[in-house]
Amino acid sequence: MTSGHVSELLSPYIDDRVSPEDRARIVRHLDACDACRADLAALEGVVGLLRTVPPVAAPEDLRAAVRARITQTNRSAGRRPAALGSTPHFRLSGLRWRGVARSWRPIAAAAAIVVVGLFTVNLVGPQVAHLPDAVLRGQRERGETEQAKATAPLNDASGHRPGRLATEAPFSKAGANRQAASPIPRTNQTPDVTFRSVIRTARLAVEVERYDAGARRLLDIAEGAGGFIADSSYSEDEGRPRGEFTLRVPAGRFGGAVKDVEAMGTVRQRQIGAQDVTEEFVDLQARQRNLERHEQQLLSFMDRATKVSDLLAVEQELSRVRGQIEQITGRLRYLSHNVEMASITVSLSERAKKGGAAFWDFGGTVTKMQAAFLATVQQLLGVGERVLVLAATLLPVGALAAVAWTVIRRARRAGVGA
Amino acid sequence: MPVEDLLISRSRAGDTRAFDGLVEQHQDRVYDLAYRITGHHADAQDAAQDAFVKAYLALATFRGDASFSTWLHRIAVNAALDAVRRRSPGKSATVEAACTTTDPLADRAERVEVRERIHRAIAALPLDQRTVVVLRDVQGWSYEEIAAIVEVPVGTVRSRLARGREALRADLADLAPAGARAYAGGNQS
Repeated sequence: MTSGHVSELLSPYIDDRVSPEDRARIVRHLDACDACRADLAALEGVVGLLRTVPPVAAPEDLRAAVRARITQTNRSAGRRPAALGSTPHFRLSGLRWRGVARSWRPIAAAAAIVVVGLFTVNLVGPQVAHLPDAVLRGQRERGETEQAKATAPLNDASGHRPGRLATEAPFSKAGANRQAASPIPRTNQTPDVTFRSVIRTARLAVEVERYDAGARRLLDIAEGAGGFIADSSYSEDEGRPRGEFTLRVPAGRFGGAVKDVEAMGTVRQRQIGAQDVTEEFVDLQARQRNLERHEQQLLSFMDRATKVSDLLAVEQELSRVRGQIEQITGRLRYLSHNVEMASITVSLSERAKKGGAAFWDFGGTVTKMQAAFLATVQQLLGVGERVLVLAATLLPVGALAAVAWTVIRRARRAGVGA
Repeated sequence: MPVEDLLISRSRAGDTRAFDGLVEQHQDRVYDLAYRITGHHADAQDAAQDAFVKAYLALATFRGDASFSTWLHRIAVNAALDAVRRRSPGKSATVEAACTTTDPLADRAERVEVRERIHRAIAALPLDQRTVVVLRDVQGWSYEEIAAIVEVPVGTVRSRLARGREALRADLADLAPAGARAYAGGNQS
């Protein structure tokens, strides 16, 4: 500690935080000075002791306490970052409900409208009923062999829930501004605090007039949506070009991209799926946390292990744990990438050229006859159905009329008798 | 760490469950730090809670340029120092007994006693030195990380650490030789 000694440099020297010149000077001095050597030994001893201090674990209730305080803060101050979330929303809806309850008139009015509306629909029913029917038929003609089925998910599902059939509506609602901000789609839409991590996939078979133009259009669609074409293959089927393309687009643009692809030509096949991987996500995160904690523990054991055999055992366990962590991290990255980027698999084919020079397209005629026959049968069935429905509609009225008629006749008879 | 980024961005969007995950991940180290700085479990509990709540509210200001862990521990250090300052200065002598965790290597009663001594010695250090010593020698942060956490230059970390260690060496002189052997054996050989 006297000047000339190196005691003030010993602490950084232990941590290897001295300049090369200082290091040389310290080493030289230590060689000569017993006092400083003793100081170094003592300092190393203290640092070694401090390293043996075991970490104190947080009390069990810490997390709950933190959460309670955060909830309280949110409620009293309405502060970010919890804002967007649930509390204000629920409070608002609560207010609105109370207001509605106070004034009964709107409720009565609404009920009256509903009753009148139902009655009207029921009476006019037969005329209105065939409208959606016609719409459906139109669609069926458009995609002749349409198979919109939710079968096995397209990705390597590794034993997870098969994707539920999803319509386009939710996708088109999903905002497109979010693709960069958050890897988890629909974070802002759902006031629910639970986040859903959903992998969206679509498989489409589209027939176009010209293959080359179609392929270019697909690239435009992918890039226009902020995505890319991840994979493509080309083949020829009886002289007709065919191609398989895998488009990756941000989840928020999925619905729009699917529509764009469908607008390119005739949709021959269409399969849309959504695989919810939230549970796997949460599960993996929990496992990762546990493993990391375990790893920390092992590292601290390693610091304190004095026997070589202990060291070896700990090291072996460490490398095993590391391997698992990396595996989980990889899977998590894979999942979050797939949640972020939806995939659309398009198999593109060129429409068959018209029956060419054939004199009479016999098959075509048969098909037309079949179609005409079926259409007539369908119309007849439709008329029959409408008659039945009308009868059902009139049944209560008829019963009422019968009762009234009986009553009137009795009254009249009584009048005649008197 | 992509998962942590995910948890952070979700927490920022108001997902308290994601923030739970962050708390889960860091609570032990944050609590340990608070406990070593304050010397008391009650204060450590307050400080750790304060730290997490403050972190949650300030999450919007967290930029990805520093590591989240460093940022969180900076908040934790400040919360712990606040807790110590809130406590009246006269009381600082009543340091709680160090808790005895279940440690397979701590089989001897002697070790428990040693640990107690160390705990008291740390608690007796001036706050600035104590913080740096705990971060470096108990928790194992690098000089640069400590500089970022305590918000002082690396050179200051170096000198505070040297002074803190020197004070501990004087305080724990009778224990050191045993530790010296263990340390030397683990490090060189």
